[in-house]
Amino acid sequence: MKILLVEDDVMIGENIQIALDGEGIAIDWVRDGNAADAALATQTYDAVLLDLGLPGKDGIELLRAMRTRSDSTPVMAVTARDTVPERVLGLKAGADDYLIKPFDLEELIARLHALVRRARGNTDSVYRNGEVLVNAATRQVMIADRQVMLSSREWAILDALVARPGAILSRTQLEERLYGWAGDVESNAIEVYIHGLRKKLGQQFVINVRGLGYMVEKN
Amino acid sequence: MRSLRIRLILLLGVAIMGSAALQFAVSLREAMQEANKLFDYHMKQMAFALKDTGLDDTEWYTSSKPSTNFDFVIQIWSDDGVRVFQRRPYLFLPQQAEVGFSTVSLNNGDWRVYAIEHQARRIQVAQKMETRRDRAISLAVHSLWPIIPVSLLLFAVAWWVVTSALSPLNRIGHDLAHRNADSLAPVSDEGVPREVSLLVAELNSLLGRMANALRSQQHFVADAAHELRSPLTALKLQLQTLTRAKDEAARTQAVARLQGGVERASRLVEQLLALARQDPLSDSPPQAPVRLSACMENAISDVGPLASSRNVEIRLGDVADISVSGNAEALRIMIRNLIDNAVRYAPHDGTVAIAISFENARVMLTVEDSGPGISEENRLRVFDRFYRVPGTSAGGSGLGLAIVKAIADRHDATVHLGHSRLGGLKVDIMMSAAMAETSESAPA
Repeated sequence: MKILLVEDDVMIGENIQIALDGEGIAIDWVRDGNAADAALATQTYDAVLLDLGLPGKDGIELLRAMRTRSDSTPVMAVTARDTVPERVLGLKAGADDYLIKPFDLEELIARLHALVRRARGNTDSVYRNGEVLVNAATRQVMIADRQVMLSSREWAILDALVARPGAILSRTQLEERLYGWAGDVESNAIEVYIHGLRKKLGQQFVINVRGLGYMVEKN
Repeated sequence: MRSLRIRLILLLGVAIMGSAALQFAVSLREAMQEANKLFDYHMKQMAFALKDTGLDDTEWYTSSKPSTNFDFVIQIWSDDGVRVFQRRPYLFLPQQAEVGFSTVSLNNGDWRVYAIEHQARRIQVAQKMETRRDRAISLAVHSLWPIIPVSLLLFAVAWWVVTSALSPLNRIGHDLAHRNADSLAPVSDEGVPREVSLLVAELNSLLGRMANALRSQQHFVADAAHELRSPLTALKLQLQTLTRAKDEAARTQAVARLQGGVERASRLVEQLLALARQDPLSDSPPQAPVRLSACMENAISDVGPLASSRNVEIRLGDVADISVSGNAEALRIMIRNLIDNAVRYAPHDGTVAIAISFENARVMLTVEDSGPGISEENRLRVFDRFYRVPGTSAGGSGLGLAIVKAIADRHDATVHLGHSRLGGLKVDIMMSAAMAETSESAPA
């Protein structure tokens, strides 16, 4: 999963970045509306975490602009504006969810997962392939009722693949899913994590389409 | 008597009754004079009528004719002093009085007497004054009776006029009494007389000022609550990051972040309190002569650690040793905020220059930095509470310059933002000196 964080407060942004990084969620962090516009124009994200009180271009404006140009990326508004009219304004402008400051990291992460799951349309969030069962909601991976432990990087790649079974994701797309802009991308990192996944889930679980990228079978 | 209406009605009622009484007194007096004149004339006519009749018959003495309404008593004496005639029996009657009109006092009251002498007879007509008075009173009362309904009518009209003239006041009172405790909407002066509309205008102006003050307080509280959420969110997230930290290095880093968050939150709270204390509505600070250079030295030592951590050089220009009138603590906070801002926005290894100069009884404090400066369009807005110049990342509360402005306003000082020779922002604060003390000292 890869999300765009739009937050001008350094302290808040830093901690969200650390927390999401620990969850294996790739994160791009921008500090103002114009940078967010630029990021949305060049990248695709699973979700946007949008602070509404932004310098320069306001969050609501950014949200309206996104929805006007039919950008349907799920957006979670994060703001200190807690009155009902303000929340209604945010939701009307196109926010899919609303989180009031101060919030819990746990809640932020849980809501983010729920948001992305809803957007993907598979509410059961379970992918099954042979003996392998991937539950995106609980982040549990089972092989014949035996739980498999994955590293957060491995999970991030698996999550991206099972989100759209049958679709081929290029190495670059996977790298994007894996790292925010801040992360250093090692040249063969994706191969290493795919190798790890295959070792744990079976050689045929992740299919390599030569020259194009990787996919999991559509079930 | 607290009710203006009752007071006016009663006063008007007394005035109406007073004027009615005066009118009664005047007409009674008129009636008295008229009655006197009339009866005197009657008595005279009667006496003249009697002088030509041959009245020597003593039978007259006892004869009794039907009395007239006005109780004239006729007496006739012969020249030997024998009373030959008397009409109407009276226990006391005036004895022979002098010729002409006279007034005689007897035990049964005052008598008006008219006497003439004619052919050895003396004819005297007398009348009790009481009778005259009764007649005059009944005349006066007759002429007066319309005054009573007229007075009542006047009283009713006064009641109505007073009530209707005071009805706008009643309406305003009613309006004020029945509004919400937090409603400071102006009172309508519709249909209010000019004298009262001045009062209403003053009341509305007061209400307006109250509403403004209340609104600005509410904005301040709402802004402050909103602004406090950000550092609180940061603190909460930092704490959670700390509990999630897996190794020692991550934990150490998280603790450092948490400390940063606590410092930021306490700084914000401190500045909010400083701003609240400089609020124009709060009590004015004691005004005493304050040495500006001493405030500046204190402020510099406050900012010293930050400056050295950023390796920013604080350069002192000419520092005039001048006193201004004001509050030392407030002035120190003002100068500290300016220097703190300058140090924060100056780049690493940058420069901040401070000077105090004196000219034409005006003191000018100048703080310059080698930072990015503030663009023309933002210069007006930076004094707003919680306004941060877009793109700045120094993590300020957006209150520093608002506090500077508030303190400057309370000290009748003007703040001017300009461009510094060092490349960044130049802040000039102009204020008047407390006394004509112009001894310039060498740079400290």
